[in-house]
Amino acid sequence: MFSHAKIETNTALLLVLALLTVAIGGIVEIIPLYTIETTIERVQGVRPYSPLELVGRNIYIREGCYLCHSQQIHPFRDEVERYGHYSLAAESMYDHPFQWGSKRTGPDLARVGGKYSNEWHVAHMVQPRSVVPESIMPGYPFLLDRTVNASDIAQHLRAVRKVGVPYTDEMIENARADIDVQQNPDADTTDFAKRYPKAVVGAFDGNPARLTEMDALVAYLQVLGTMVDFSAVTPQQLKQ
Amino acid sequence: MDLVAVYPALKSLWTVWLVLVFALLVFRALRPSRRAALEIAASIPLRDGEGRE
Amino acid sequence: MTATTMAVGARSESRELYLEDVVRVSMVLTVFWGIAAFAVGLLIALQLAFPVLNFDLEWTTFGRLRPLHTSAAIFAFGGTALIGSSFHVVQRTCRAQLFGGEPVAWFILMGYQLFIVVAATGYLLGITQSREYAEPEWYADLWLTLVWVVYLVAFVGTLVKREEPHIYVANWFFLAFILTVALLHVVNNLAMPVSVFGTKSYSAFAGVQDALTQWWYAHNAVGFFLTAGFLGMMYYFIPKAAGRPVYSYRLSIVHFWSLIFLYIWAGPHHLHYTALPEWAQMLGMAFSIMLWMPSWGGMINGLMTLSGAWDKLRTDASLRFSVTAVAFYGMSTFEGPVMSIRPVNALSHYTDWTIGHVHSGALGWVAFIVFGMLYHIVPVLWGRKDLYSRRLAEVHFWISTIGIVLYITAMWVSGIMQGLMWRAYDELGFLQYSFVETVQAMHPFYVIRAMGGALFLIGALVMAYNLWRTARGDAAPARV
Repeated sequence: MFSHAKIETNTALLLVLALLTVAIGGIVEIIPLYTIETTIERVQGVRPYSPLELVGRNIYIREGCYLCHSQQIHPFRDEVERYGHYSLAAESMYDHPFQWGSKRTGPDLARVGGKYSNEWHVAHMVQPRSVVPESIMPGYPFLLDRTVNASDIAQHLRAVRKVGVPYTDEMIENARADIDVQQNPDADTTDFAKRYPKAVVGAFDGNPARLTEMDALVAYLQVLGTMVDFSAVTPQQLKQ
Repeated sequence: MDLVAVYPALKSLWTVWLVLVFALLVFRALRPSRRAALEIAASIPLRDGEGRE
Repeated sequence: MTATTMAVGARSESRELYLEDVVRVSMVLTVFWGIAAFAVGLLIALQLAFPVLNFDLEWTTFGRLRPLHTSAAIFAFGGTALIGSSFHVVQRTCRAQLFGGEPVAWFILMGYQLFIVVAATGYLLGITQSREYAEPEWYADLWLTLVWVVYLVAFVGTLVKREEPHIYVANWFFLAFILTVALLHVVNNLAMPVSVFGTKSYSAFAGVQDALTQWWYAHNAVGFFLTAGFLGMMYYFIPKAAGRPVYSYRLSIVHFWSLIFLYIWAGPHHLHYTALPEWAQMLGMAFSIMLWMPSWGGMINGLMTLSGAWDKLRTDASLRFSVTAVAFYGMSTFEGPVMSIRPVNALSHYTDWTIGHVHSGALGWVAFIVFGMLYHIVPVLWGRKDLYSRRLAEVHFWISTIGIVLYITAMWVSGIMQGLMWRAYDELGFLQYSFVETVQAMHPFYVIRAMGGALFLIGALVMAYNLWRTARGDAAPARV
């Protein structure tokens, strides 16, 4: 009968068997997620981030917001009542990397888009305790005086396209211009709106003349959870 | 074969499979075996002849 | 530096065979990184209790210091301890010098230290992949991959040219640790850099696939970095300190193969009730529950090794820390499967209960088994008869144990309370608490947790002083 002694005295056998043993679990769990098409819900509306939203998202990542804020609403009565419709896999399909988070020291942000005004976000970012006295969130006043240097935004879009996000050539060419358009309320936004439907346009940090990191971060926060129109969604589409 | 369809059957089989694997392991672990070889193997750290003992 | 012959203390001639300088330096680094990790942990715990301590500067906010704490604790403190102790153990149990000799050993240790410094400084500048426990960016990952491959080659090379026919069980665990961490690291860090000269990269996966890949990695970073690696440490240092062979070598065979097979599957229990398909969640839960058996198999094997030597607990600090570590390992690996049950996870997910579970494993198991290893290895490596002061080791033990208990209980209470408050409905059918009311309710427990962390740090400082005096060879004052 097979005896373990053979493995205990043969490095190569131990190495290969250990590698095989640890490989099984990963393969069985990760590969089907790509092959089963029903993994991603068949809903409409999810689009790539606009250039300004992408810059804001990179600031969200840089400051480690995902360490205290989750972006994943569970299908529980209290969470749906507190935050909105439970999060779909489709809503994060263009998120490289995903920002679901693992801790709610602060509230879930999956559907924070449109819940608070731009001015509220700016005041909250600068000094959280000025609007929420009991908050334990750090202040980010420096976001207001840091101008965004988005000269390489086209490179960013190309890099994200390489990993699967469908940015068109037209989007990449207009990327730098779209950043200024999105944060300037009286700019001509018709083409921009065609490229990025339902993107929020406005002077996020209150000053359209200056492009600050606050603009970008608030633009990103305002789009969170607003892409899918749930009134048109049928349960059949949501079945995984 | 459609994974979604066969999934409920798999779910119920899981308990049976778990008990089988566990029984096999317990049997193999408690079977009297090459005791001497294992004793030698277990005492390797104690045989390298230094440290405070 | 040639393989130095120890001039001091009674050494057998085999001493010349083993590389010891690199192990000695790794132990000094381990103590340093331990204290650094505990100090940053204390700071960010205080920041949660008193937000003014964030100073509103981008380099000092919780968001950038938290990865510094987790990476310092897991990779700097844990990693350096593992590299050092694996060199020590594999050479002795194979009775062979490390494959590649001094240059390879120093490259691995110092290359790893470079990775730590590059990652840590990057965090403070805001350079992160935002993947928990895999935050270092693509260039740091490439460097670590190179160092880790050399580490695998050196370890396997030592096994191949071993004098001892049998590969001791501790080496199986170390091998599984090095091998699997390499696999996890490469797959989870696949990313597209924006430009070769920039730091920013975008992960290769997205959304739900990225979530499972990340937590397949992160849970198995715990499973293989913080469990299998340190089980290798346990299987050498407990028999060594107890002077008795491991309880049941056959059980360790079952323990090894079942642990490394089952652990891999458990990742999805981090994603219960999320957009991850239910079949994956079910698999994650089922295997996490099964994981309880091999984990406790390891605990039983470790604890029962003491049969006939329990009296040593009274005198041997190394044994006392190691045995307590195994007890915390048992507790933490029982709490884990319980929390992986979906309805329980519905309460615990996103709350402080998770943090309590993490620290019962990190402080109770990982840190304590490293302390047990240090209290044994420092007298051996510096050729001293005994520790400078057993009483100081006892002081460290009690301060740190109370620190852990304060930490865990505070997080249990705050975590479960927060979970219940989030889901509470009042008699009119409305949500009873706004989110910020639950944050407000956390404050006293965040203070207690910070005190627990402070005690743990003080204990580590007492250890550092004791080990420093031991290494210097100072005799303890007569009264000890």
